[in-house]
Amino acid sequence: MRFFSRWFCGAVAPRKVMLVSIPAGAVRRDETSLAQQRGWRRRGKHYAGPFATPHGTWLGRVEAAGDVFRCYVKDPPIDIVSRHEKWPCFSRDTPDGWWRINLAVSPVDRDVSAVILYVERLLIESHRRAGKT
Amino acid sequence: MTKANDFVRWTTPTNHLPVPYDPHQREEGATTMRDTPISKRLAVKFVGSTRPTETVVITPGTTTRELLKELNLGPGFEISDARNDVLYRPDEVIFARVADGDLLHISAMVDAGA
Repeated sequence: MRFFSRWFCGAVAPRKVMLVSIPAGAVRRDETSLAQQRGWRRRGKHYAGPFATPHGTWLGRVEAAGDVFRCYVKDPPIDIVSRHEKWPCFSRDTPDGWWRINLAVSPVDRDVSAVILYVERLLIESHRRAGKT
Repeated sequence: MTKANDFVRWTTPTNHLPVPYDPHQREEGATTMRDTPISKRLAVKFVGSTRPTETVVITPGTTTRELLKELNLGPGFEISDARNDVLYRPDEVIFARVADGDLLHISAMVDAGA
């Protein structure tokens, strides 16, 4: 009886999420990744390009090392980012202004776009919090 | 005053979704249950891949995890709002946080740490 009621409830319960198919002949949607949109260039396992936010653009570099990524940003707004809780993950890499962001979790699909989005979000959050204080 | 679209909205069972799409239908300013839409249509862009943007219709109570599951994505992915880059928690009821017609970003989870 319990099995039947579970099966019945599952059969009649409405689905919470439904995918909607695009009608044939419709304009094709943008299929480019974030890295392509931002104009990031790839050289072997190294990627270079800008971290673009509404508050400014910073030069970035991402290196793939196996399953993990090493992420760098040039001349980040230190006075603003230093108020973010992720500031301890920033470390000065070279004297010419490059800072490394230590990543504890790298993207499971090994795609650089997720790293770019994360750093951009981190910079936006930092500016947003700095604006509030 | 009852709008003509209200009749369609409230007589359409939820298991007959998608309901007619009204881009001006917003939850903002809703004061009664009657003003709250029974579904929202969202565009979902996959940030890190060339997978085409999908359109989904969600109903009240839909969580981030349920939306990811429907898109065949596991717990290693996260959803954020494309407008303000707000990240949604996995157990968060996403229906209450988004507006009809919003664009969401889906990306693999990344986190900085020592």
